[in-house]
Formats: sequence, structure tokens, C-alpha cells
Amino acid sequence: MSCSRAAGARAAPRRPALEGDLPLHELARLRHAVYRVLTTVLLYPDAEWIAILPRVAGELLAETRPLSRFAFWPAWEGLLRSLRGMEGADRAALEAAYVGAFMVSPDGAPSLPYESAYYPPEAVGEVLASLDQEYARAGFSVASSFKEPPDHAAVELEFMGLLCQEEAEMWEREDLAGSVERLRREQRFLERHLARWFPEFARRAAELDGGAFYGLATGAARDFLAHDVDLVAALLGRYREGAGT
Amino acid sequence: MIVLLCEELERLGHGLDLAAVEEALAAEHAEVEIRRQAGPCEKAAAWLDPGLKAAGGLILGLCSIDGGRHELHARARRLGLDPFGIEVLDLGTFCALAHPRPQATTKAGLLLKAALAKARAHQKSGPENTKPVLSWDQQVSRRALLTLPPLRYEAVPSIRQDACAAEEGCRVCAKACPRAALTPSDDGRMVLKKASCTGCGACVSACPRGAFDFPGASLPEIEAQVAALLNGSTRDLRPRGILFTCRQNAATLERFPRAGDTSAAEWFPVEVPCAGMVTPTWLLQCLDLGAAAVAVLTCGRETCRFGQPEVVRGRVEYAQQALSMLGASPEGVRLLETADPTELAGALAFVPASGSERRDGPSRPALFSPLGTAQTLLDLAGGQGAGLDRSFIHPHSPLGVVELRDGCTGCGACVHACPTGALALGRGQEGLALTFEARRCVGCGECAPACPEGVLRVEKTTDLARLSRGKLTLYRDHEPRCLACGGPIAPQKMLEKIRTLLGDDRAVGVITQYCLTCRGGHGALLCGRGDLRDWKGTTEMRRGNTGGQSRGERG
Repeated sequence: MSCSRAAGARAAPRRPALEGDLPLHELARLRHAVYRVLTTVLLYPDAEWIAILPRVAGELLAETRPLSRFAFWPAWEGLLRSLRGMEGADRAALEAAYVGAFMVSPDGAPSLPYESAYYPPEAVGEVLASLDQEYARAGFSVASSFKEPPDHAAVELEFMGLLCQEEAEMWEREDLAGSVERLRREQRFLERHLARWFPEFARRAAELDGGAFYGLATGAARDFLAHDVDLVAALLGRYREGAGT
Repeated sequence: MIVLLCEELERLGHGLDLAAVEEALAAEHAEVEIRRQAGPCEKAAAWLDPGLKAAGGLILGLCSIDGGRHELHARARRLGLDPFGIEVLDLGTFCALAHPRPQATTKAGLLLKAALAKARAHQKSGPENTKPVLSWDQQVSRRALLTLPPLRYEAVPSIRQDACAAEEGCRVCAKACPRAALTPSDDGRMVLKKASCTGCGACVSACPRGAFDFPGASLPEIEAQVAALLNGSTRDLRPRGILFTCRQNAATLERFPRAGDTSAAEWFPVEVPCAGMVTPTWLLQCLDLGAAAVAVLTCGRETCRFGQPEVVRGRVEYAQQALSMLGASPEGVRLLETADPTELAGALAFVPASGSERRDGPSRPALFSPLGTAQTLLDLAGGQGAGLDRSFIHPHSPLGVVELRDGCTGCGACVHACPTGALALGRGQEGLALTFEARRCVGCGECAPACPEGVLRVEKTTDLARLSRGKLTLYRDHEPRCLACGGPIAPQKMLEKIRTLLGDDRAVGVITQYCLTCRGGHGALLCGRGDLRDWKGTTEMRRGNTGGQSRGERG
């Protein structure tokens, strides 16, 4: 087969043959799944963690098509591969890695997975109150059985996942106004919270944990969050123009 | 590094001698692996495989780019390659279709060497450099509103906060941005709003600190590419011209080589995201590196990312005026505002010898930063044998001159605001001196509004004499010594101003006799004088009208 130019033809402009269109409810469900995985990864590793996450990662890796079109894919794929390889992993070693990365580090200050740790002390109350308000406005609250404050990375990531789930339901119902409202809520939460502190958290985790699991996990989460901020903005850009309403 | 060449280039148009191209590359870059790929190169994305991940850099020589870039990027991303680090060369348009086989072959070799140099200078892109763009259907339908349209990614610049001077008040990039995408945050850091950024790169080339990363079009990458194109090791195709082309011009350039085209093989394209990125500094530095001529081809579209054609024209005009000042031909720099391929080919019929070409190639590494301008002008002046008694004012001058009227108190606010270090405050036995180094001044004007006395002015002047000198002292003053520690208190003029402002206030004695540390940090000094209570009361009464004092104390 020869190039169209070599064959004497002048190339006609054509639409790039990129990935096929993806229904927006599926996109929201994919984002929800990513947030769920990231939430679990940043929780203290227990027996259930080790039993479930490697299997989930294996299943996600088996069907790469929907997510591999996105720019965060290389980091995400790296995390999934690492998770898949943890089947039957030594729980004590993983616990030690978690403690060393996020709780008590022998190599310096740990990378604390709490938003308020990245603001001056006088802002802590404001951050926690703001989070409680955000959760309450969406009809959620942190379960009393969960022994971490509402600004823990896992809580914030799970909340974003829940917003994505609601968004997916709205798209499925073809409720454009409701979907856009959910997107706006996601944007606000990302910009006011996760996007502000998570990159620094990930940077510190990478410094401490380097190429090890938790450095990789926070790096993948950082890349995904950076992409999600842009993606939500791009989606909202369409509807802000009034086309969707 | 791996170079993938489409085999069809052998047969396209006049054809390329791919064996000769490979030989030329291997002679200078033995470490580079060159592979020939069977066409069609419209599907070059299929050439990518996971094995390329370890290559450390990838260059594709194709018959045509033809909009396949996004497919290529998508596949590269899926394979874990950095898509913005892949160099794609349209060897069909610029070589095989445009010139006779021997010239086309030499030119292809040079373009590939330059792409290798650029790929080596590439720094890995991160999520901060990636902006998703959704290609929505023009027609609004229910289905379109419920689906994610094809997604592509564009590169946007990112800011290295450790190099950025925004916290000191620098706003050079924000002023250069035509889309107001750069704004300082509450904590003083400069933030790029990706949603507003069009990726024109104007901020990247404007930043005097080189604080921007812009994968695929960073200053080190462009600099390396141009230097390689003008390298003297290949004797053919001289004198050479550098043609900066806007990326949006791909469609015009695709139609460019036609039967009877007269464009000269000596013009070498350097693709930039937008002509708005090309500064006068770049234009002149290409000449300094050995180009005989430089041209800027703008897209001339309504959708221009930069959207300020008059600025591009102004920059070219400045460079032409600078050449005239140096006694060189202004023809050495030109602006091409056309979408007509025939007109374009006619304009590029030959490379005008500007008289500044250095046949031995660059004598020093290029410096595509704003701070390289002065050295470039002095080099060019030396090459032309031009005297240094020349200067001119131009609104697009990349250089400036700071002038100081009477009334400076030496507070140093201007020094703090200057992002390039052109203004400096020095202390010595003779007192305090405010100095100005013209070769470091980019004429940004950040210093003037910072001056509390309003005595500082910046003019967009290119003045060879001032550039050739080192630091000039603008202001010198004696600094009285602290009675307690012997250290400097403040410039004499500032203390006089404080006396004038405060009159016979009791605080004057303390302020003018003790340095900031001794009067503020050691309560014992004041306690020892037994008037602490009075002193505090006096300060509180005066707090409302001591603006000049607090500014002065910064010095």
C-alpha cells in the first residue's frame, strides 16, 4: 500500500479517526470507578483490601479500551499493574509501607493524607466546616464508623466518586440540567479542595516513597485529578454556551 | 533515539535518497537507530509499538502530516510514550515534493538532525501540560449532548514556581497573554487557567526568567533545533534561512509545493504553535547563529491563537529597524502574511544574503531567552563593524532603558520588582548605590509603578552604547550608621524625607539614629531610654499618616 501523496493524490482534509463517541453516562461511571479504586487504595490496607483490589485491577486491565484514550492512562495503567501484582501480597509489608508513607516516617515528615495539613493552622476549622457543608449539601455525611476526619484523602475522593455516580444517573435519565448541576458541583469541589492540596501531598509522597507503591498511587491519583479538573471544565464549557439548555 | 522514515519518500515527488539520509545521520549520530517503515504514513500511528518506550526519543519522517497528529498522540499515550516528545517531520512538503532530489536529500538530513537536537532538549511533559479539547459537533442534537465527542489533547505551558518572580510582583507573562489566562493567585503565585489558554506560547517566550515549560515548543527545544539547522558541518544549502511557521498553517503548507514552485531549498521550517510566540529576540538570534535571513509565516486566520497580528508585525518591524541600525539589510527579517501557496513560494524564492551570515556556524550556544538579546545585538554589531553610538526607540523593543529623575530615596522597591536583576542595590564603603545593567533589562516596566517616589521611567530603547557597558550607577547615597550596632540605617535622602514627614516627632530621633533591627528587634534599647510608654503612644497616633515612612523602611 502506498501513501496517498506518493500515489499522486492530494490528501483531502479528514476528521481524525479518534476513539468513538462515549456516552456521557458511561464516562461518569468510568470516573466513578476510578475514584472508587483510588479511595480504597488510600485507605489503611486490611485483609479485604488485599483480597479485592488486585482482582478489580486485573478486571480493569483486561478491558483497557474505554480509559486508554485519556491522558492519565499511563499513570493509571501503572497503578493497576502494580495492584494486580499484589495478589497474595504480604499484608504486614503493605501496612508498613502505608504507615511509613502517611503516618510516621523514619525518613522525615510523612506525607499526611489530610487536606488541613496543607493549610496554616488557623484555616483548619474553616476547611473542615467547608467540607461538612459540601457533603451535607449533596446529602452525605461521613459514616460514624469511619475513624478519620472528613478531610482525609479517601473521604474526599469517595465524595467525588459519589457525585460522578449521581451525574451518571442524571445522564441516563437524559436530565441535562441535573447533569450540568452535578458537573458544576464536581468542579467546585475539585477546585476548592482536591485540586488545591492533592498535588503537594502527592509530591511529598513521591519524595518519601519514590517508585514504591504509595508514591505510584498518589502520583496516579494526582494525574487523574489534574485531568478531571480539565475534563469537567471542558464539558461544562459546552453547556455554558447555552447549547445544552 | 529512534528515527522512523516512510519508505514512500523514495518515490514521492522528486524523491529522497533515503540511504544518503541515513548515512548523513549515522555519521554524526551513531547512537541513533534508523528504521524504514513501509507506508502508508497516513497511518503512522500504527508504527508505534511498546518497544519504542525505551528509545528515549522518537522522530518520524513522513510524506505528509495531514492531520494525523492526534491519532499519533492518542496511540503514543496508550503505549505510555510522551506524545509531545515525538517529533513529526513533513519531509514530503518541505523536501521530496519541493526540491530536486540531491537538495531534497540534504535538506531532509538537516531537518532530521535538527529534530534529533530538539528531541534531546525535550523535557517530559506532565498532566499540567495537557489540555483536553472536545471536538463537539457543530449541529446540536440530543445524541451529541449525551455523548463525549472525540477527545484530543493540546499542549499548554506550565510554570516552574521556583523560577517564577510573580511573588515579587512580576506580571510580564500575564501582560503577554492575549487571553488573560494567567492570573496571580491569592498567595501571589502565577496560575495558568487551562480553559482560557490557547497554547500560543506568548508567555513562554516573554518570561525573562525562563520559568515556563512548554513541551514541544520550550525555549531549549527551539534553540537546539535552530542551532542544529544552522550548524556549519553541512556545507551545502547555504546561505540558509529560518522560516518560523505557525502550526495552524499546516493546511497552507500542505498545498505549498506545486509544479513550478520557486521556493528555495535553503529555507528551513521551524514549526511553532503560533507566530505570536516569535519574539524579536528569536529573529535576531537566528541571524546571530548564522542564518542569512529569517521569516515569520503567520496563519492569518480569524481563529489565530494569539489574535494580535499587529504585535507580530511590530516585532518584525523592530528587528528590521535593528538591522538597519547595525548597517545590515532589513531584508534579513521578513513577515509573510499569506495563505496563498503560490504567493508564499514566490516570497521564498531565494534567501537574501543579509550580510550577517557566519559561514562557520555559531560561535557560542544560542540563548533564546529575552536576556540573550543584548549579546545578540552586540555580536551582530561586531560582525557588521557597526559603531556603538546607535540607538532607537520602538514600542516592541525587547530591551529597555531605566531613567531616574531626582527624588530617589534608595528604598529598593524597584530592585525588588525587577524580574531580571537589571536593577540592583549595592552597599559598600561609599554608601549605597542603585545600579542599572542595560543588557539585562527587557523593558517590562515592572519597576516604574513600584517606585513610591514616582521618579523612575522605562523607555523601550535599544541603545548599543549602554548595552556594551556593564552596570551604570543611577543613584548613590551616604548611609548614616546605627548608634547601637554600627550597621547602615538607611540612605541619607530617605532619612531626610522621614524628618520632613514627621517634623519634630520624637520618633524621628530613634528612626534616624538606629537601624531597623536595633530599634525594632531590641526592646531593651528603647526601655533603656525610659520612654517606652511615650514611644508606643506616639507611634499609634501617627499610624494613619506614615505611609512614606513604612515604604522607606523597606530599604
